Amino acid sequence: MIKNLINNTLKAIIIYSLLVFTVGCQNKEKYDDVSGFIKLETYFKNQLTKTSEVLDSLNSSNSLNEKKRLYKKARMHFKKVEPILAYIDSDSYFYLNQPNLLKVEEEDFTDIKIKEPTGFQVIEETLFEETVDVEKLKKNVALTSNRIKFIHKNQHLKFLKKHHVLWIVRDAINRVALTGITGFDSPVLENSLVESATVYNSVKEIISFFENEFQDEKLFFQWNKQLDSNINALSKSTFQKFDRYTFIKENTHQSLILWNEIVKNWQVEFPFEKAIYNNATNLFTDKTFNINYFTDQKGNPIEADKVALGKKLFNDTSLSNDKTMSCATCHKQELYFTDGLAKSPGTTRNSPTLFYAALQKGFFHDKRTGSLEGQVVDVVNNPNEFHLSLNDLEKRVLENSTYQETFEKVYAEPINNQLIRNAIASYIMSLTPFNSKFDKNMQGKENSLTQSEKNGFNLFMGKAKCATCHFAPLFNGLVPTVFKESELELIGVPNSKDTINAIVSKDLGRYGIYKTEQKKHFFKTPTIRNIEKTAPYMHNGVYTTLEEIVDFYNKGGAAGLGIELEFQTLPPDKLNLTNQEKKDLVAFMKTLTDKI
Amino acid sequence: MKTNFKALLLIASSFAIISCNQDDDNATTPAADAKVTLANHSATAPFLLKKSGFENLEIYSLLSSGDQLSESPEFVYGSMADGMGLMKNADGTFTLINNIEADYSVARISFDKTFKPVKGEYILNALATASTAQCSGSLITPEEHGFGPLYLSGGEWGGASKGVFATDPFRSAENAELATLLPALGQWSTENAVVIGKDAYPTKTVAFIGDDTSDDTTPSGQLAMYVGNRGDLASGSLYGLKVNTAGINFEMDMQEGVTYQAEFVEYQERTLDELELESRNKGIMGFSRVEDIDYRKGSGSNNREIYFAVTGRKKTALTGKGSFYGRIYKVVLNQNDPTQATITCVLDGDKLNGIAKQFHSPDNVVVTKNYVYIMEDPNGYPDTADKTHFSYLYQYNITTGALKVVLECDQNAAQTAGIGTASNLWELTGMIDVSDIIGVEGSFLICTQNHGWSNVNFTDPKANPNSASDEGSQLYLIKGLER
Repeated sequence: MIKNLINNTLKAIIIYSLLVFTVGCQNKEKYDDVSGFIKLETYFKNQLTKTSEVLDSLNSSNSLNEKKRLYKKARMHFKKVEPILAYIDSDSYFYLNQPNLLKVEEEDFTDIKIKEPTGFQVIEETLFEETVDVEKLKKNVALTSNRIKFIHKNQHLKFLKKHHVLWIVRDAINRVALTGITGFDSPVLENSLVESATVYNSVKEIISFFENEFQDEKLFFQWNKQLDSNINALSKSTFQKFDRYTFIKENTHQSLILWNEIVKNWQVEFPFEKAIYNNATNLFTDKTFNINYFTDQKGNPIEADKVALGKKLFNDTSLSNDKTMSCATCHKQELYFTDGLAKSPGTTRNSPTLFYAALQKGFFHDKRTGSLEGQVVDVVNNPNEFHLSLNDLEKRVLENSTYQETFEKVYAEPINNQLIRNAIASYIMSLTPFNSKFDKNMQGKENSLTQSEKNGFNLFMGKAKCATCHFAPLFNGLVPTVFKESELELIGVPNSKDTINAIVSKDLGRYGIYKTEQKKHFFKTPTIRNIEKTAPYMHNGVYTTLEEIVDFYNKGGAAGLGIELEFQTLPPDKLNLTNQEKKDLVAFMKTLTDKI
Repeated sequence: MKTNFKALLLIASSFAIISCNQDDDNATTPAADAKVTLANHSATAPFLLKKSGFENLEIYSLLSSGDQLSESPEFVYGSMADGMGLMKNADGTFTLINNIEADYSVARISFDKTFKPVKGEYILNALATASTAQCSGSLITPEEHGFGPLYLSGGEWGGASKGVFATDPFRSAENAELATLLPALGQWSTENAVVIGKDAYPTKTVAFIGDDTSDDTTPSGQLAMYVGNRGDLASGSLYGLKVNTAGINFEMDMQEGVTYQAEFVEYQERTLDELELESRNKGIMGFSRVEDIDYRKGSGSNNREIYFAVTGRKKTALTGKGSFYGRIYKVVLNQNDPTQATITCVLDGDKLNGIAKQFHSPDNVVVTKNYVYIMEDPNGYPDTADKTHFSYLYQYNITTGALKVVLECDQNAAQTAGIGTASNLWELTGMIDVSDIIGVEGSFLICTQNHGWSNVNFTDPKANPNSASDEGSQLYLIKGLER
């Protein structure tokens, strides 16, 4: 009796989703809306079912070739469902598509979780090894299939509105451009182009469910034509030869322009902004990223007077204990906000550029704090840097009468140390010019890139695998398209240029924070924007030229230097770059220099 | 409750048959008129040190990962036991539903009439939860909530099925069926979901969801509220707590003991990232990790008084914004409209000379008629002498505001006895008031996650054949605490 009662409660929960649709059908106008959503949900569930069915047959098949064929088939269904899944259950999507690397979550000193990875990339790397670990394969296929069944049972699309559909589509466009075509999630097969074409086919289908929303048939036609062109571009090339520069500049950006047309045409209003502005039509401009996504400051954090005040504080040596040091001591504007030294005085690490620093989640090489304001606290408190308490910092600012007036004017509040930190952060947030030669070409304002520079970008985004960690358009470790996490990696930077008897840099990096063994020598992925001007390179400044860096990666990082590190995250394989390709890569990186 | 559990009686008795031939010293079947007789039943001694003023407490160790139960010798009480709910069955026996967090599973443990654990089984295993850790839990019962029984648990980490899980407490342990989520309650790094007492609102079901998100940029854990018709956990509305008093932008802007106006603002989104963005856009308060939630017992008015723990997070970026050492908040709901409320930080661990100066990451709470009991899960930064201790259980007197330490995990004694190491701090958790269920005034169940007490056999393969955790857990009964 009681069992029935519970079953009914649970059934009621499940039946509810159907109920919503039934009610909606009574209204003709709504019927059209709703039918698009029903089609979407049906499509979503069908693709999930097919993905898990194919994975199950993979596990029951005895033939290795058949398993490989079925893997690719399952992956295609997964890629079809990817745009919807990544939106409605982003954590599950990440779980299914995570890299084959030990997952370490450092929640707090007493709460470090270390988990074996699973999902498609683990299956891919296991299945396409020379000798296949059958048990490992079976286990991971079962876990992956089960997770998909769990999503199928528990995820509904009933809360979706039109703007969600458009966000789903926009994320898919950006995901293909920023990670899909780079080999990011097809590390062994490099099946990225076929998979990206599948995503675009899925996007085309998703929008077609809402054909009735179009007030203008021409726009629907244009959209489909554009998507066909994207699919065609992806289908006719190979991973090695694909012209990613032209694809992003033309196909991705044209798709974003048309997507914005659809927003207007469907009369959709977005309830809030995300990391990339809703109205962005180009990924390489100063109007692409929404700075408010990256800060908890209210209002416009980069208003001119906040930035000016921040700049003044940034350059003020009276904010350090002995009044000799300011932020600018180690971040000199003329050196692109670095100091040109291997390690900054009083510190153990290289001074990073502040250009684009605001567009990250996590600060310092070891990512020990989560905001620019937090970074200021660390520098102020550090005995080797400013060596002041926050209260003393406040006193120093108060001592200067001109500040009092300015703070009142800018913030309508008296000076306090939180506002001091906000102002300095505002200045750093303003340092995102996006006016390099590369940006201007991507924006269509110039057509000045040489073939070598374009080739360099294509290598960076493809064969050289740089963009699987330095994600475009920021070329730092902030993972698109959710922009929630800046990654830490273990590449194994050596302590000197000696390639014969190389030893790893003594700096344990991230390990210093939580003492997690598996995080020794991990460092945050920095931006390569303005890299031409920010030598020397790496956390210890070991390399002085871009050629040396390319050479380091070409060898496979530490592994290529004979340094064995169990948890190296950089694939240890050689990149086999030709001399010309190396030159092209360097040429491309030099196009990322902003005009200041 | 007794008359409502005939179905369970049938299930329980069918299982009992299997167990008759167990050759165990303790496997004597209690007489038909047996009464609850509190006793140590675990091979592992209790390691809870009574503090001054609480010397008269009786503490019993009921079950640990090292034990074998008479009717289910294969069963292992797994890694990191957490939230739980207890029911009395029609035949006088008892059933405990208990999250086994690190094995991504939920256990059902049967107690005989004397309250001795006799059988354990897993009703949700790691496959069913898609490898999601179940943290705090709460049992919905017809007597207390007007519908149910239904067990809610928070999916927080692991496989990342982030949401509220709803489980039939009578679910067959043989059933491989996947777990059920409640999408209407939203996607969160869910610590817990708690339905408040039915007397709070005559026709509504009101549930609170704690978002345990730990963010290094800005405090990002929300207190969410779901309101539906009585018993409806699917088609209601979802809200987030916003503090309306001017100048309160971050939780640390709220001072201990000061009451602020608040409201619950409705959410349109349901997905994890978008709920966070909508929260920021609408000015919904972000706390440094909302942990456990409970409501005051005793009357409709009391039921509208909610307490929750914020465990704290120490990062320079959170200076002045989020709690470092933890806080306890009280939210009082308007009697006609749950979206209108007030909020008060009643205990502030960041006030280093304040009443809660000993706080080192309060995590779990249980609220009775007159007291809030607060358990710690230390985050590992004992920055002052006051904060340097093993996990405490505190008693907060709602009327007088007095805060007392009830007991402390006795990890020095435990280490001597070979139960873990004193350097890995245990978590006290899962505490529930069982006085009315077992008929013994002032009795509570509580468990410890005995970090550092590792053994490869501490995971039941039926819970998770590939568990990454092998640390033991322990379940206690404490008798003699005031309610």
